[in-house]
Amino acid sequence: MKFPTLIQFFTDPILRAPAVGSMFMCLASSLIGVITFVQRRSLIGEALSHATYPGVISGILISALWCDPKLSLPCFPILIGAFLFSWLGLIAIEMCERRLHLNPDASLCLILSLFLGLGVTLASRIQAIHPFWYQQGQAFLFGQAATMGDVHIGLYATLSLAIVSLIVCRFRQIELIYFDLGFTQSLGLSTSLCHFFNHFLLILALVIGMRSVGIVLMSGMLIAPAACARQFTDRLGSMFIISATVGILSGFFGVHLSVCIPLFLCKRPLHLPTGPMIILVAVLLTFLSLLFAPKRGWLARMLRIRAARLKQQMDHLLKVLWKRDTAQASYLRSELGLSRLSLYFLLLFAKKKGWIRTGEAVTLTTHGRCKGAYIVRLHRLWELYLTSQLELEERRVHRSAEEMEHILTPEIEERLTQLLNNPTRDPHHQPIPRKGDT
Amino acid sequence: MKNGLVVKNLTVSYDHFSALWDINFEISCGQIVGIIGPNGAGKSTLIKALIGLIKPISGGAEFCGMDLKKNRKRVAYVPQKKGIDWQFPITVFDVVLMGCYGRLKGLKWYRRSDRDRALQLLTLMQMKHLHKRQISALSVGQQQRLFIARALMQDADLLLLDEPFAGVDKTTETLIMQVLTELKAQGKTILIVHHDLNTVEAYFDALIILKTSLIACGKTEAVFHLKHLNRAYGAKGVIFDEAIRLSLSRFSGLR
Repeated sequence: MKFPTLIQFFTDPILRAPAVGSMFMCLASSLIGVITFVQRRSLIGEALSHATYPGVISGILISALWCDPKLSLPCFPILIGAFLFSWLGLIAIEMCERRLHLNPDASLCLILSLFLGLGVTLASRIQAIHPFWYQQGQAFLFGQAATMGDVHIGLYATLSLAIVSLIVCRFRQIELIYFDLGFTQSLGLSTSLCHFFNHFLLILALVIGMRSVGIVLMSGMLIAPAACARQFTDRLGSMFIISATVGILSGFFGVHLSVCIPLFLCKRPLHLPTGPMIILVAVLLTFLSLLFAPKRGWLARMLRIRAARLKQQMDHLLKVLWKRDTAQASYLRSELGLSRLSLYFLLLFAKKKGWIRTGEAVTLTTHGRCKGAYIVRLHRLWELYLTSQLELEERRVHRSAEEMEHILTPEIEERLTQLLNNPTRDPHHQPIPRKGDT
Repeated sequence: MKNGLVVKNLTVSYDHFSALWDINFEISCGQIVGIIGPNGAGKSTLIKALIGLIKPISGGAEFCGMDLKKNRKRVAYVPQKKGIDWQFPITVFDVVLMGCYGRLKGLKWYRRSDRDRALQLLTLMQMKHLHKRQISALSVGQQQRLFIARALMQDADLLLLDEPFAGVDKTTETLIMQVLTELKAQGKTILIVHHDLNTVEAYFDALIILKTSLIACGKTEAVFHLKHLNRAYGAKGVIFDEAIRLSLSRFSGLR
């Protein structure tokens, strides 16, 4: 069996429906996910998607009464049932919070288990009477994209595009209401209508996504793309766009991998379950972005910290060398409090910059001496500034100067020089290196 | 008097206790008015009731002879900082632009003139260089100036500020007061919930002293004296505050 090319996922009659269908579903849920994410109510998706289960089962029950089991799975009663029960769940959650004064997370948990419990009870009843229909119902628990047909594409594409266009049209309103509810109310706008509308979209997205990702994993598809997008931007508009892209990509590659991995591993046209695969891709993308995003990612933060520390250590090294001109490595190690390895790298780096010469002992080059003098100048200027201008005690200024010598910019140095009238001695009567020497 | 803010029989209650009890006062236009009172006196509640965040049990407010409920476009509101989600993905510039949302029509796209105005206001607030920042990267003083810029963007005649000077440094406070004084000169009415009794006389033309019910309302020099403060803060608190004020002025005189 040959590997399908990427284009075949859009043309091949068997692969086409799951791939395109999943992409639309993920598009819808990743957009709505942004809204629940910025609202800080990520778990509402989880609760409402589980609340659809009894709806799915009742939908199946109804179709079992009228439909011919040989037909493919009828969608409408199931989708409508799911929608209604999810909405019921939403109302129940709001009742618990507002009227019964239960914590938000506790009420989410309570309603989730209540509805799922109801669903499981109904399902076990069906299992006994209509085993065939029960099987069909289970497809919704974990999703079954592989059995989708072209009809499904049309249906889900329409619903997803409706969500996209509604979000585009109401973007400013969404931004306003979730950023500052009080301000929105002070403008005299009705907030309950907007909330109603966004909940409608949320449940619609859940119902759409159920078929490919499944009830159990649906909330991941809401939150993962949004969390991923948040790493890259500080604006709600771009967050929607990035999240949609991540959603579409994970929808496509989820289907792609679920087909290709079995082909690769056992050379047989088996299918891995699509829903979990989509979620895995989305969560993987999210973790990658949490680790490696340019500004907010873990790696970038570590590098920033590392760079600052390196600069600090380098400044200390140059300062110590400037005071002694030449020093043994063992002396430097004890003075800077570094391990053998860190000192080795520090010296290597300084040598590369052309600041020091290493041999028997470490010595400064001319360039390095200027650099060292500059740091000592900053240190002593700052000490003098603190004692003479801010009237701090002499013995208390050293610590602050130790920190500020790494931070002060040439402009501040210039201003300090002018303010202190180009001084030559610091408060401890040590000479301040002249500007020409640095 | 048809030419100002008139509050009639305003009563607000939360669940089981009343936060405001039968408030009646009148304020003429073109003044900076301070609302003072101890914690829990209903200062913020008064502001929230005025703009409709809380529904009063009875009474209401009129501004320039029109019911405030139907006149929302003429009111701007600066909320307390603690109610804002600072991690929200939004930039300084977008927050200021929000101020003109009430005027937008149709699809609610901002126009070029709105953007220019927003930048102008940020310049006024000395924050233009920060306009692309995410809002959590601002200092407390900058955050406060940002929300005042948004209120200015609304171009309203009545401004309601809920504790704008809480946790703000002196420079920002002076800047904000400067801007507000300019607005006053343009004939706008400004209500400020305030805590620091030391600055009351310097800042406000008129005062509203609250403690659940209205204790006094009128020109600052007529209202701001011990008798009323005693009733608002209780005798003990006032002596303490008075002592602090004395010691502050004594020391600032020395320096």
